[in-house]
Amino acid sequence: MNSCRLLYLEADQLTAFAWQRGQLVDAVGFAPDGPGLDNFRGYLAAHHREYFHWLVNSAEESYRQETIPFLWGADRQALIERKSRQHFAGPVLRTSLSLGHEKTRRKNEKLLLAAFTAPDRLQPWQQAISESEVALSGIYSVTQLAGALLQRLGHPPCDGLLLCQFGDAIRESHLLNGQTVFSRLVAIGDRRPEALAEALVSEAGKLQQYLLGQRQIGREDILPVYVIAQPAALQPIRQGGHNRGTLAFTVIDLPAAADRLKLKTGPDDNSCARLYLHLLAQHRPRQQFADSQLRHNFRLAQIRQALIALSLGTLLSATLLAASNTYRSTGLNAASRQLASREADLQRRYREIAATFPQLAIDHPTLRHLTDRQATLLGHQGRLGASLQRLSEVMDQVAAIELESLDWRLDLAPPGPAETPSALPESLALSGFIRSAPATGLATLEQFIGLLRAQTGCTVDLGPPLLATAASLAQSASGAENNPAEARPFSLRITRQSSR
Amino acid sequence: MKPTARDFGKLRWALLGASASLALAGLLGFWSDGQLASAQRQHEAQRASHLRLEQQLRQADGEAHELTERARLFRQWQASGMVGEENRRQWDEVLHDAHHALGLPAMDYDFSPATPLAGAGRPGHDYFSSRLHLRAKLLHESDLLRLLERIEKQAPAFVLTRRCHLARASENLAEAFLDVECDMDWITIKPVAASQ
Repeated sequence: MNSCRLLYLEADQLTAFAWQRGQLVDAVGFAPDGPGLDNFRGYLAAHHREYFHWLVNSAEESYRQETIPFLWGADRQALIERKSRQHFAGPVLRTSLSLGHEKTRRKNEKLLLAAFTAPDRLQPWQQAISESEVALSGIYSVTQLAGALLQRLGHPPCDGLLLCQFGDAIRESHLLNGQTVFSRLVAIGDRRPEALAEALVSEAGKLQQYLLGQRQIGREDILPVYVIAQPAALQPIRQGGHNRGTLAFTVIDLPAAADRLKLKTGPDDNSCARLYLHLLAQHRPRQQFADSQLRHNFRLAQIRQALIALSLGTLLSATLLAASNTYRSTGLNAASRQLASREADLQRRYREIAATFPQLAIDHPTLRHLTDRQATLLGHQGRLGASLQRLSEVMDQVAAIELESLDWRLDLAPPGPAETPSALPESLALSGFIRSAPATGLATLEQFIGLLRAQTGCTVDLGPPLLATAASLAQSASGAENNPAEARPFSLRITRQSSR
Repeated sequence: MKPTARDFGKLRWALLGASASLALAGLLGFWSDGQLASAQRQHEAQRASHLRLEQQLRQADGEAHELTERARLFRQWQASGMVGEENRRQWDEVLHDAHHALGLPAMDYDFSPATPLAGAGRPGHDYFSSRLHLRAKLLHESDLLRLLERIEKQAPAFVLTRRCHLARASENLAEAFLDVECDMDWITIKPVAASQ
């Protein structure tokens, strides 16, 4: 988010900033009275399309630590809500933060519950924001950013105290592992550097005593104390912090801290407020104090932004796809044109060669078809003669067979892929007599059929007369061996799956 | 967050914009896909045509030799009268000459009209068949083979014997006459369009 508006509430005074290109600019202050609120409404209306983040630096801020059983989902949320209401009753702004789970068998969860306990101070501003329907991301406390501030200043997350100067007040925070678990705002009457230094050192000691009393720290624990204050107070703080028992002071110059955070507009009022606002603009904490109703327009703005991002993303993807497809199409079309050009050249060369081909009244495919089929037809010529020749050879070997008639047929299949030489059957039907003695008649018949079947590709079907003849021959051979020769009729069909 | 009707009013332009963007993106994608598919089809067709032509060109020398051989055969058919309208008078002469040359005791025949040969019918020229039904009396079965051989050689057509029935003509074996009935296809080449 490159541009947004930041609201800062401190001691009832609300200040609005514009966050533009990493700078806090256009500070406008609003008093908590009628004209001030009207001006604030006008300000919100003038910038109603922008996002707002609200940072509160209030003395009325309370913290509680709780331990709850290991839960998740709606149950956990309901329990946290109940615990929070127990500690902070009334219409206060609350939030919670998980401090991790105990490393015991029960895995209880440690929670930090926080609340602004004086909602009346925020309520007029909240109402103006709600009426203006601006997109407020949330209400944040400066204490939520204390750990992040130390980290950005080069100090890793640790346990210790952070004391920051906010004009004529000091914000004291106790951090555990970089997370603020207790904080308070203390006013100082005298703004001279020496008085400020004395107050800071003194407040650190008081806070240590308080934490000891709460058993938050051990009596012998070395407690790091980080102090961010105006340059003039640094030397007195160092002198005052020397030999303060278990307190280990680290003093940070406010302008130097601003440089470290790369603030383009440094703090000019001896206040760390701009450091925190800068941090908030860059890294908003996940937890905040505003209820869902106050953040409703922010959610809508997020949905709107998501829709716009979806639209742009989709259009960009489609444009990239179209560009890629168009590029490939153009390449293919160019290749096709090149092929067409080369094809024209090939056709011209082929026409030149084809001009030397024999010129006939028919085209070449037809010529090929006719000559190919003629070869097939030629293969069928003379098949009757060949068939009779084979029959004649068999008849020469079996003199007792006399033929009365024969009927020869050739089935002609149409040409095509299914046509094979063996698919063209020819058939020869024979009928005649067997003239032999009954004793040799059966052997003659068997010899005749055997010779026919010996021819390649032949099948021989015996007709009914032949079966009758065979039966009578068998009877004659067994019963009347000396009967004279007599003619017995027969018929049979020879089928030949002949190759051409 | 519970959305209300008023929220949809606030988001209407964003929703409309998103819908329009999705539609536009869909159209853009569909159009470009169509363009690409069309270009791919055209390129494939062009490439196939080009390969075919290249192959045709590579085979041109062999094709010239092959077509010369086929053309020589076709010219032989033209010279023999096998191509074009059938000359029934010439066919009668062939059969008459065979009858007398072989000294057959009796012979008669009839031709059926020409029909496309099985599987024929492609545009241009193709094969047609006229069925000859021939009846004759023979002195010996070898006369049948000689008759068929003579017809196949002399006829201005491909002659294909399809059926022959051979039987003794009489109970008196001494006469040894044979009755024969044969069906033969006389196959010629004619223009298909002209005949249909």
